[in-house]
Amino acid sequence: MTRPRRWSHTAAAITLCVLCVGLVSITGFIASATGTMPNISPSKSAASGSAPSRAAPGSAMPPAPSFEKDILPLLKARCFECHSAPKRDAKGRLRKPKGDLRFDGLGFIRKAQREMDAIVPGAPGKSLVLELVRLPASNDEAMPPKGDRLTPKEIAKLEQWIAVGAPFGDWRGAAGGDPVSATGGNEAAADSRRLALLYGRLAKGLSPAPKEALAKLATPPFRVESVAIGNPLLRVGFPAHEKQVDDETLKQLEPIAGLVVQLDLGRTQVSDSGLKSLNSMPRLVRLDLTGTQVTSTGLRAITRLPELRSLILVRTAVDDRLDLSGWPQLRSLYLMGSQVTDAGLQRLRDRHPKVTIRSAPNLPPPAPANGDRRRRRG
Amino acid sequence: MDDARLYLGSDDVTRRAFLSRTAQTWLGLSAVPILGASGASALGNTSLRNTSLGDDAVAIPGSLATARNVIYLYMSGGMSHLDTFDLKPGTDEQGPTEAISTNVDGIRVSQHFPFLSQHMDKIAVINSMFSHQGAHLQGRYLLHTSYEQRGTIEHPSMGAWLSRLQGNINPTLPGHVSIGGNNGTASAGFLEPKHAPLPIGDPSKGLAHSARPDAVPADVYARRLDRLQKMNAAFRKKHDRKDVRAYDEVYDQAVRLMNSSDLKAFDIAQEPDAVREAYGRDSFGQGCLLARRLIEHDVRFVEVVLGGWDTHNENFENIEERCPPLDRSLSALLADLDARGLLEETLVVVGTEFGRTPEIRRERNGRDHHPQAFSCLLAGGGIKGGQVYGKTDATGQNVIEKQVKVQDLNATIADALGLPLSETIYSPSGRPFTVADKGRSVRELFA
Repeated sequence: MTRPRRWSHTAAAITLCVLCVGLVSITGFIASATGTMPNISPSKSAASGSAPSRAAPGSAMPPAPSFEKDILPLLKARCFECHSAPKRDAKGRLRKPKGDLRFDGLGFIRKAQREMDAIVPGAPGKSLVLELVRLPASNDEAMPPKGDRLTPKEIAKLEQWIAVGAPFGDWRGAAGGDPVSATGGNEAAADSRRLALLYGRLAKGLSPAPKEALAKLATPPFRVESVAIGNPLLRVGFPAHEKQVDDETLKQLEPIAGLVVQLDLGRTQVSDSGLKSLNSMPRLVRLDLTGTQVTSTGLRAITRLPELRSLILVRTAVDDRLDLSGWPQLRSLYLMGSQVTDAGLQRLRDRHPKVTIRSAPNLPPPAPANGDRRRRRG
Repeated sequence: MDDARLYLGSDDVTRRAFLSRTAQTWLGLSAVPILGASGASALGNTSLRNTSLGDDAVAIPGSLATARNVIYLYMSGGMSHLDTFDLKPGTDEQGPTEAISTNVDGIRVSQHFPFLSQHMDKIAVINSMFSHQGAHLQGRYLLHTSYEQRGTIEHPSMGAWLSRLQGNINPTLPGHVSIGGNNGTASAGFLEPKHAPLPIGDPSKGLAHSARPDAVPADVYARRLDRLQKMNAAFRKKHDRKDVRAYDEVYDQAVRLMNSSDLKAFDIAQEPDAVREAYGRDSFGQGCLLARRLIEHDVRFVEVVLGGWDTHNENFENIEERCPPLDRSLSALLADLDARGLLEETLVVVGTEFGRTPEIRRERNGRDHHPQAFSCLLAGGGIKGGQVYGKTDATGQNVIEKQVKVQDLNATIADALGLPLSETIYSPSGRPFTVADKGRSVRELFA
């Protein structure tokens, strides 16, 4: 039984091929095909905007791929045949790009990103391009549909480039498709998951944690996980062992502190003095301190968490002295069961309008004696 | 690149060692109902060949997981979409159900959801669900497993996949619990029985049969276990096979659960009365409350079942009865999770196997099965609330915009959890499967 090929898959397939082909020989090819001079930078040297190789000294991580040097040739060779500008074939017929999708210009790629998540910056697992090139040849939807599969090395390069945010540098390619902003940033991907975007950005230039450090943290009470493949950022928790975790335990996170984005200290024995360890975690995005003994004073010790977006202080002794000014990116604050008074809550809300502050839950009132059912007559 | 693929979970070496301890009913331990209905049948089929992820899983896939946990509220019987979330005011098909406005401009829900109407900013409504299975058993199976029911193999449900691919966070509690009627469709399928859901019948009763009888003191109990281990040592050595070890694992899980300090998670009597009242004193309400407690103790996938939606007869009267528990309990759950900071990482799903016909059967005042268009809800776990995704036509008969197949809904759930959608996993018989049968995750739903 054959499944009818879905439009989105066909379009996506074509998108990938266009990307491949278009990127390689875009200048002369497009100019001759369309008769227009594309608005591209002729320079093929490593453009300033391409991901610089910022591997930390002494690390084993290879430099981040440059679009024009590493990805474009690959795409030219494997995808442009079907997914670039319309061209006339040997018989003089106009061959449109497969699935009406092209990759030979940044605007066309933006269109593909918007329409089908062809490339999701920072999120290789969400990128359709990667998914389709990984399919085995036997699969109807594998890309490219003819010829050899991409080699594992090629796929790895593509994945890495997407993981660091899919930067195109100065490359523009053929004119057309979605408008490209002056900054050439990843606005098209703003429709996709903002958190993935954030993590992609935070991971830039970072190398994964050293193996020995991770090995030491591989046993209870620790549970250390990577937030996504290809991403060195980590989330740390202590599930089922919260009672064993105290201020000293936190110090053991020192070797990986720079990579921690989520830290779950809920129900642990951590106190105010332990909070000082968090100053070595500048990339912390979400911090859970539910049911710990921290206080407003203790929280003042961690005033420099520039990326903190979510702070959970449920069932803590935090009171009206709580000061949020050290966390400019904070968007979610949870104060249920804390010592913050109504007046204190109002002050916080007035001072920090961007922060959503939850205190008590808005639970339904108890059901009336004859139940919730509201009889309707007629 | 491989360094970042590291998953460091609970210590499996310790668990394997503990595996050698077993328990039998005649030792004084009552049978612990950890296995789902399929547990026993899966015992003979527990080897997983050629998994691309290797044994004991865990490479977190390339996607960014925003949901750690799932609370899946399953509306059993086929929830009428016209009377709940996809209203068509002014049409003959709508019948007497009226629409009310909500705390989100432009979104209206049924008059039977007054509490929920104030939480629509947290919820994404999918009005373009589509299934091709219009019978209960098949529809339910498809919803839970993404595959069609076949005679030759049993497929795992999402909770089992999660347990298999990412492991349990809490090593002493089961990773997957089913409250209020595990009718067999939430199961480990061809995966090892340890991934099967723990079924809980009545949430108010806690976990039945999980305490050591008073007549057996702790030291006696330990000695019996020890003696049994010695007796079985020779057998285990001679027959060191996966299904033998799986059998051991079941008992190992049971004993660990009994000794777990997190067992109190199952005891909802510990919650204040006011909270228990807010959720609703019925089985579904208390089940939702239990689900929240289990999530707090790192149980990752909890299903709570609410039946009675099969309104062939007296649709409107029955809808009046069915909606209030959903209205109250879902509202309480969302508000409670949100206040505790849990909603960010907990995906709440309201799923049903199909919708109901817009055409009202006059002689019984009812609606019949209608799989080609229906509604489901998603909230939390990275989902952008306050939106309606997809559309049906003027009478709610067919989907006209942004169809979401059952497999796509499951792919979205799996995507939120960070499960590998495109990885092929092989059953013991060597057949290939993927987590949501090639469904596509609906990215637009995410924040």
